[in-house]
Amino acid sequence: MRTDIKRTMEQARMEMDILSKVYSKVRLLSRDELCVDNSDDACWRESCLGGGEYCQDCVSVMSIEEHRQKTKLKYIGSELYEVTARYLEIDGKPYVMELIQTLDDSDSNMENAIDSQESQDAEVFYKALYTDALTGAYNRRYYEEHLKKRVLSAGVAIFDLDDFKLANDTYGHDIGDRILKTEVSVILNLIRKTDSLVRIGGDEFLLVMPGISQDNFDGKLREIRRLISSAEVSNSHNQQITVSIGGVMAKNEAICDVAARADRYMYQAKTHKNSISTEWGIIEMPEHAVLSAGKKKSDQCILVVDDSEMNRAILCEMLKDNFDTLEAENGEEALDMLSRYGRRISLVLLDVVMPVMDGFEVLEKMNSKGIIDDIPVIMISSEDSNTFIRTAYEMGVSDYIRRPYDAMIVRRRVYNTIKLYAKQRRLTSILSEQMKDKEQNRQIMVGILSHIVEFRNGESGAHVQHINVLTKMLLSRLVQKTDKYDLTWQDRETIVMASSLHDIGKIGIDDKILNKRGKLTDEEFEIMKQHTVIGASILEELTMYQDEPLVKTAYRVCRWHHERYDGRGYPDGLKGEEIPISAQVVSLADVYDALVSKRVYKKSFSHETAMKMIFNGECGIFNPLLLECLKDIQDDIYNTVYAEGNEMFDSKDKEGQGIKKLYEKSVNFGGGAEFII
Amino acid sequence: MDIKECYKEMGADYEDVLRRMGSDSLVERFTLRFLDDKSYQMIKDGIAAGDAETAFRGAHTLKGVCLNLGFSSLYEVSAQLTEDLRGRVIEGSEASQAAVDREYQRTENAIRRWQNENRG
Repeated sequence: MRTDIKRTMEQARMEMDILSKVYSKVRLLSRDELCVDNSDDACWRESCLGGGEYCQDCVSVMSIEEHRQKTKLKYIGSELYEVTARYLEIDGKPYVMELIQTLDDSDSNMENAIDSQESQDAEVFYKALYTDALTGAYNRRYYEEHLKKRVLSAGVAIFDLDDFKLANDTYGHDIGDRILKTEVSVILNLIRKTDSLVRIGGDEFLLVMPGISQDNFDGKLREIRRLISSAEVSNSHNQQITVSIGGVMAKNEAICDVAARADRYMYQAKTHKNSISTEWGIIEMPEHAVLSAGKKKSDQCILVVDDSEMNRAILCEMLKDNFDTLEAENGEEALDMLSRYGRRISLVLLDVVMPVMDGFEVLEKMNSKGIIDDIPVIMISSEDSNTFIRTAYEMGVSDYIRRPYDAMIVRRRVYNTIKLYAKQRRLTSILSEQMKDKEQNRQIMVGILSHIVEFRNGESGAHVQHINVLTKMLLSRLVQKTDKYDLTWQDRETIVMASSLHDIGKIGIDDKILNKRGKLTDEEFEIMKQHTVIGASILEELTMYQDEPLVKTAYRVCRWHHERYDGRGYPDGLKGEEIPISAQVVSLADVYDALVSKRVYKKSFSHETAMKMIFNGECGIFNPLLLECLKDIQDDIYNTVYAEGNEMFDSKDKEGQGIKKLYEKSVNFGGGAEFII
Repeated sequence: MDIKECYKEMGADYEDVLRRMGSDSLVERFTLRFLDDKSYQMIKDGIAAGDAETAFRGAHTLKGVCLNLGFSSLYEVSAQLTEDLRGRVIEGSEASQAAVDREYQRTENAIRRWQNENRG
């Protein structure tokens, strides 16, 4: 059989002359021609019969790969074609002779042989088999079975949505799906029928544009980037979407190899977001990123730590095409470089046994300084006992490479680890921004709430701010002095926030009593005391949030911020440590600020007088330890609360005339007993 | 004598190192650089000075370098010496020292011969 396929070019031409009398079209294709998708005569190519799309079962490609003849029937619209691909070796080189016959109704009864409905079903089946159900792009299966091994000259790009995971997690999968659909429809609108867009996985897409010039491809990528970033995603809280794009030109290369190269460029673009990085340079990026982008081959710098110059040289040699490298010959030098270059180092390759400071000591330092979370470490050693490797992982290394190194594996692992960390860094910074926004909103809400109470109470808005600051200062002094109360940083934050709510119960007290200018009668005082219980019950009725630390703490603060250490406070007469520490701290802060502020029933006292009154027990008895704290920080209090506070009152007075006017006429300078209200 | 024969002469695995490094020129370059590697000298210095720590580190490094370069014979004996010195005691390691000396000489001679024949 082998001799049957051998021809000279002359023999082949003669044969074609004869065959073209029988077939509607006859053509000879070399391996190169077969794979280059020349769109000018695309309609003539067997592989392009399908209106310009790749055939899903190109017999010519199969024929040249399997070295044998292949035949198929294909419907294009309503016309049926018979395509035969013959494998030939002409002058020793592989060729395919394509024989194409149009089978029309009049001179063929083939249509009876092939049921047209069945054929259409097959087309539908293939379409479904190779289409991504969500986006309408080709799916991974199409890539695996028809694209990855193809050798083409084409523009090839990888697209990856920026922060897609975050959008998915924050806004839900429904929005995530819409984002993907939007992206794909933008791209599909911009590409030709002969191009393929494949959803490789998750939010990663591969675009293959056969036969396109570099200039046109460049233009296409820019346009895609621009249109995606200005696309609107329906019902998505105005979510803007952006992509990072890596682009390369394939010159008669297998798509899978080219895609891997494009992926590396995509990853470079990822460090800037909303950018395009290509073999011919970074062609577009958001303005803020332009400054930070160097002219180097990559922004990724690897620190290679090994005491043997030889080993360092081998590693650097393996990495130098893709990364910049720095070298250190022992642990101490490595730490020095880490502190000098910081996050400009993307990854550390770390040997274990070294003089001066070994690899494990470096890891220990990186852990204690917290840099191991930012800069990944891959450990390298010929030590391969399991305990050794386990210890390395426990100390936070991302990966472990054994000697002897394999260049490809080293590059791949380094690249994957950097990719993972870059993504994580971006996510972390976005997350912390969102947390900050949420936290601010929470503070605004609590601020508004407590201000409502103060407004009714005719107090200046500064009271709550003062209570916040004083509570915070007292608490941080308290934890310095003792660990008796076991207050974490979070506990303290919660108490500070709860302190804003200490007087919410006053919303339930009659205006006439609340703003009475003279001394309260015993009966009125009993009613006034109820603000503690009312505040607590308001919180108790919030059934939904009962387990929230803020609600629990606010309950204690509201109910017990008028209790006193000797049991003579109200409403429950709790004594000593029966009073939760949160309420104890807030009550001391409350008393100080009440004393130095002007109220409808009293003038303001100076800082010194207020301190004296508190220490003399004129406002009730407090926890001696808290009084010590107050004493320790009194200068700070004077500077941050009292001095600033008086300034604030003055300016507030000017602005808040409407509110204050009512009370200014008859300020009550009277008695001290009410201060504990 | 080409690099492949040089590897054969020193009892080393050329196919393995070529597969890992990816190119002949890289293997040739690093083989040549082995002559400047200081780890063998470190073993000698450490042993001469009675400094077991230095000798151990020298052996450990030599073992790593040999592993990377695919110098299997020298790797095996330096790995043995590394284990003998792991307790940081020089006594008792005489046999593996002698083996390392022997294999190092063989390796060095092979590289020098290949160097002289090919690079003048």
